[in-house]
Amino acid sequence: MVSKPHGGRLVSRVVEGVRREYRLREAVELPSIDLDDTRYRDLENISFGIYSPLTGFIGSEDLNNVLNNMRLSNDLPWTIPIILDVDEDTRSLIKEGDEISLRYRGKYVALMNIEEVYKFDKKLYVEKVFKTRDPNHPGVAKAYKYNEYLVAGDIELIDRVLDDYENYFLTPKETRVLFRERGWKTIVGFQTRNAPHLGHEYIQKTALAFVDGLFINPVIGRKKRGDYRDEVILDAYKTLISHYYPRNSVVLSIVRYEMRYAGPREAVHHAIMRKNFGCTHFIIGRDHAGVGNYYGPYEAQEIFYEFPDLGIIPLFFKEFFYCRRCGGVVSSKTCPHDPENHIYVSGTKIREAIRKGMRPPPEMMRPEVADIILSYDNPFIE
Amino acid sequence: MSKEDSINIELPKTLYNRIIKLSQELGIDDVNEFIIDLIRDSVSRIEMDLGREEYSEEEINRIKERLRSLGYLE
Repeated sequence: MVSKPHGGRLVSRVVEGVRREYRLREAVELPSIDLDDTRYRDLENISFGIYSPLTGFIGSEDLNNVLNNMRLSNDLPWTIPIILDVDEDTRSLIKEGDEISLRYRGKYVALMNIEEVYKFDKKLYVEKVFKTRDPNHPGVAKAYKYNEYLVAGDIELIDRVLDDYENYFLTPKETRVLFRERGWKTIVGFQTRNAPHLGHEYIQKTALAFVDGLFINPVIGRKKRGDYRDEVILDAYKTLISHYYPRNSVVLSIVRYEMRYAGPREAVHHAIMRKNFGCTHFIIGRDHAGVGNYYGPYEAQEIFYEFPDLGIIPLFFKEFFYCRRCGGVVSSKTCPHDPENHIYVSGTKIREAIRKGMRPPPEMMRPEVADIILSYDNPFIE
Repeated sequence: MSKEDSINIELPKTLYNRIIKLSQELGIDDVNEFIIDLIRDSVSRIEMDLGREEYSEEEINRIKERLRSLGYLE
C-alpha cells in the first residue's frame, strides 16, 4: 500500500465549482497581499496536499515548535517553516479575524483567514533552519530579506498561474491513483535539481531493485546560479528514461518548490513531500539539499534517526563512482579496489565539459543525455 | 525539550522495568527519549491505519482521464 499522507489525511484546499465562482468575486473586494514566487509555490503545495497536514501558513506556536523541536505543535515531524511575511504597511491594514485575498502576478489566487499576525525572531529562524548566520549562504541571504511580520491562517486556492510545465505536474491525489493503477505498493522517491549523471542513475536503479516503482520528482523553481535550467533537467531525464529505464517502472513528474539549501532539515522536508505523493521510500544521497561546505557530507542522512515516526523509509546512499577494474559503477561499500582505479562523477567536471561544448566522459554521463544538454545554447542559470 | 514543552505521565512500574531492560539490551542510554520514540512510533502507526483516502468514483475517473491524456497511463 502506498504511504498514507503525513498526519493521516491528504489536505485539499482547492476550491472548485460554483463556490469558486463566488469566492473569486469576493477576492476582488478584500484587502490583498502580493505573493512572490516562493510563497506562491508554497501556497500551491499547501493547497494540493504536498505539505499535508498544513492547511495554511503557520502561526507562532507551530513556528516555535518547528524551530526548536523540528515538529509541529501537534507533534508531527516538520522541519522547514512555511511562513508568509508582510511589511509594516500591510500589517497595519490587516488584523486577526480578517479575510484577505492573495495575489500572484496580478491575479487573485487565494483567500486567507487571518488567524494571527506576529513578529518573528529572524536570527533564531536563520540559526535553527540553516545552522549558520553566514549571509553568503543563499537561504540565509534570502531569509534576512524577509519582512519583520508574519501572517498565519488557512488558505483556499481559487485560481492558478500556470507555467510551461503543467503537463509534467501531478498532484498527490493523481500520483496516488497512478501508483495504484500501476499496481505499485512500494515506491521510492528521488528529488533532484540536476541533470542526471551516472551516479544518480545507479542510485536510482539500486533503490528500484527493491521496490515496485521509481518516482523521479525534479524541482522546478528558482535555483542558484550555475544550476541546470528547468527545461534542461526535464529533457535530460526524459532522454535517460527513454534509453535506459523500463518504462513501466518509472514516473517522471515535477514539483514546484524553491530550494532553501537547508541541508539536513530540508532533506526531511523533501521526504515528507514525497510521502504525501504516496512514496514509501525516499533516497538521501551525499550532502542532500546542501550548499557549499555548510553541512557535513552525510548530515542529511543522520538527521533521520531523530524521526522514527516519519512514516517514510529513508534510503541512504554513499557516493557512486566508476571503477576501471570492476568495469562498472560501484560505491565504497561494493568495490575493493584502490582509488587510482576510480573515476569520480564530478558535477563540476561535467559542467566544465558542457560549457566547452564537449560530451563529458561516458563513465560520468550517458552520451544521449550529454547530447540533449549540449543542444541548448545555455543550459545553466546565469 | 524544555520543561514548558513537556508533561509527566505515570507508567506501571512493571512496564517501566520492562522498558529499562529492553533499553539496556539495545544499548540505549536515554530511556526517556526511548519511551518518547516508542510512543511516537505507535501513535503514528495508529494514525496511518485510521487515515482513509476518500475519492469519489467521478474524481478517480477524472484523474485517470488526465493521466491517460498526459501519457502516464495506457
